[in-house]
Amino acid sequence: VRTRAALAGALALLGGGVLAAGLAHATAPSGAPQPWTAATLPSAPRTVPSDEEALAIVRRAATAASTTSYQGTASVVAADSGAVSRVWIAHVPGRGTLLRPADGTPTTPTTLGPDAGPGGLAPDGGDVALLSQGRSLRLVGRDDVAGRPADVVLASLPSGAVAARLWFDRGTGLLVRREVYDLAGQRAGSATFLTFATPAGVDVPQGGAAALRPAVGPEALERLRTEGWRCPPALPAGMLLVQAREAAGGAVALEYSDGLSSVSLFEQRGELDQEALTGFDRRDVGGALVLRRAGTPAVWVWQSQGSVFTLVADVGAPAVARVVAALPPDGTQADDGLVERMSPGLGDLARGVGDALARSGS
Amino acid sequence: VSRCLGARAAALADGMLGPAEAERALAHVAACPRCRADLLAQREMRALLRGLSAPQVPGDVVASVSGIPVRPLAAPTPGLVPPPPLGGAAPLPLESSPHAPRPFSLVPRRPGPVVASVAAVTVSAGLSLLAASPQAAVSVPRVAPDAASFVADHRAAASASALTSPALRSAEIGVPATPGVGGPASRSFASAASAASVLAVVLDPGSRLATSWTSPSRTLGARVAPVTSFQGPSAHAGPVVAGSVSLVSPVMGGAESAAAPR
Repeated sequence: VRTRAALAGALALLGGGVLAAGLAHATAPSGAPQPWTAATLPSAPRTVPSDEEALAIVRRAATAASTTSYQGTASVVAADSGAVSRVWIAHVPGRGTLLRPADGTPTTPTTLGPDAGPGGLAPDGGDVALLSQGRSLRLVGRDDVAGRPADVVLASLPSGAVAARLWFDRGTGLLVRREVYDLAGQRAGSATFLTFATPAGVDVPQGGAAALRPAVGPEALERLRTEGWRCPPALPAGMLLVQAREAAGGAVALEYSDGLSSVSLFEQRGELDQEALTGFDRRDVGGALVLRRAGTPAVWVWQSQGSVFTLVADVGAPAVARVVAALPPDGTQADDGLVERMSPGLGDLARGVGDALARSGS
Repeated sequence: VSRCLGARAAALADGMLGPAEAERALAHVAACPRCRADLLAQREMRALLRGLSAPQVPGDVVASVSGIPVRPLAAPTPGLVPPPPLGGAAPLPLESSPHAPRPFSLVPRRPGPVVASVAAVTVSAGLSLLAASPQAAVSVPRVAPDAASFVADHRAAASASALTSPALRSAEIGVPATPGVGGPASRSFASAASAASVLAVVLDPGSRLATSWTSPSRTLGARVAPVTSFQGPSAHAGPVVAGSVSLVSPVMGGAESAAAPR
């Protein structure tokens, strides 16, 4: 009987808390962008044990590109369209990565900047931390990639679903093959080296990362947020903000990564001028109309509460829908579930308590 | 000596009077403190309503207005001479009968202009409060994202990370791609599973690829995906027959056949 009474009490407390949170949410001024606070951040993913061997392999890979010169041919399947491309890759540490079509199609080679690790806003531990956040990494076997022995690391979610399979070259430590899966278990992009050799043996011109404007630090980012910019610290599905910088048109460029893929979100303050956009069509994304320019990568544009967002990423439509739902376009009703609807109210509660504590402390 | 402006003060402030009439009215304003005060009130009201800062009133105008002695309210006294015009300019002769300049007072004889001014200030205060709130910007810039520049930025920024670098996502670096493949079911197929697992493949008539990974101890995962490509080293290449189950990956730790979901 006492247990039952305790249970009832706990339920009553919980109910009261939920009601208060709901009231706080209902009475909160609507329309204004919710400030991003610790309370509105997605909850930290459950930590899942990884095996040390797998972690060591991934740690080695995270720095291998900065010490290894290589070249090879890779086959790549785009997440968005399933399009297949074959690319010739040459990498020289400190200079960058040169890419061109493997079939000899004449195009200007693309040069990527030197690998410098994730941006300054990334969590401690960089790529490895991002990759192992909410995923368990396990060494599951050996395989051959491009005729060379490789370790196979499986990244799985707490549910047991496979998030990715990663092949690491045993000789160099480099990531040489990857298969990434979305939450529905669909393959969301894959790539593998078909030939691989060290060293690069070619001249790689200095990469273009210098063209980017300097990254913005945490304080400047906080200041932007107080001025009404959203600059979300995280996107759905564990994508964390790793870099922020100024971009064309007074935009703030925000780069997010989950250790497996990265997306760029550009925020501009103002009203979307649809007539000025060419090559875009209207797409229904989870019930919301957004503008999309097909291509590699695809570009998605929408208006939300005084900001214009542009998402640039090679990710499937489900992933885009989740990002759009987190920053709902004007005129659509965000439907992100009861818990997420409640969380702004909980955030208000937390802020109210925090303010009260601050007042009583001063 | 000219006729007082009355309701025409509003029209003058709005620039609605004809040139000749406006000139006469302005000349009268120069000579008549009451109409000058009315006009100033009208102009301030418009400036406030526009949500802009009020025009700077020249100090000498303020001084001349506030320097007028306050008298008790009384009926206009005929025969009083108006004060000399500002700046010594002679007023244009207007046809109406002269009246005494009304004493400057906080309690006006005709409350209209002051009521209007108070209302204007109230409205403008409301407007400025609205403007200060984030969702009602007075002027919203029009934004057209520069997609080409953003894509270039994305590529450059994403290349900074070794594990997510687009070097292994060439679709993002503009290398031409062939469209996703449906293709004949007999297309050569490559190893696609981790070495510790068994890959079973079912290619159904709808060209959907079902795979299931099993290990000796557990099922690692299963999925059904449209066939988009067969890729990778073709060491295990072989025909895939629609509706059949094929084991195509190397097997470690003992083989177990896998039932692929249909």
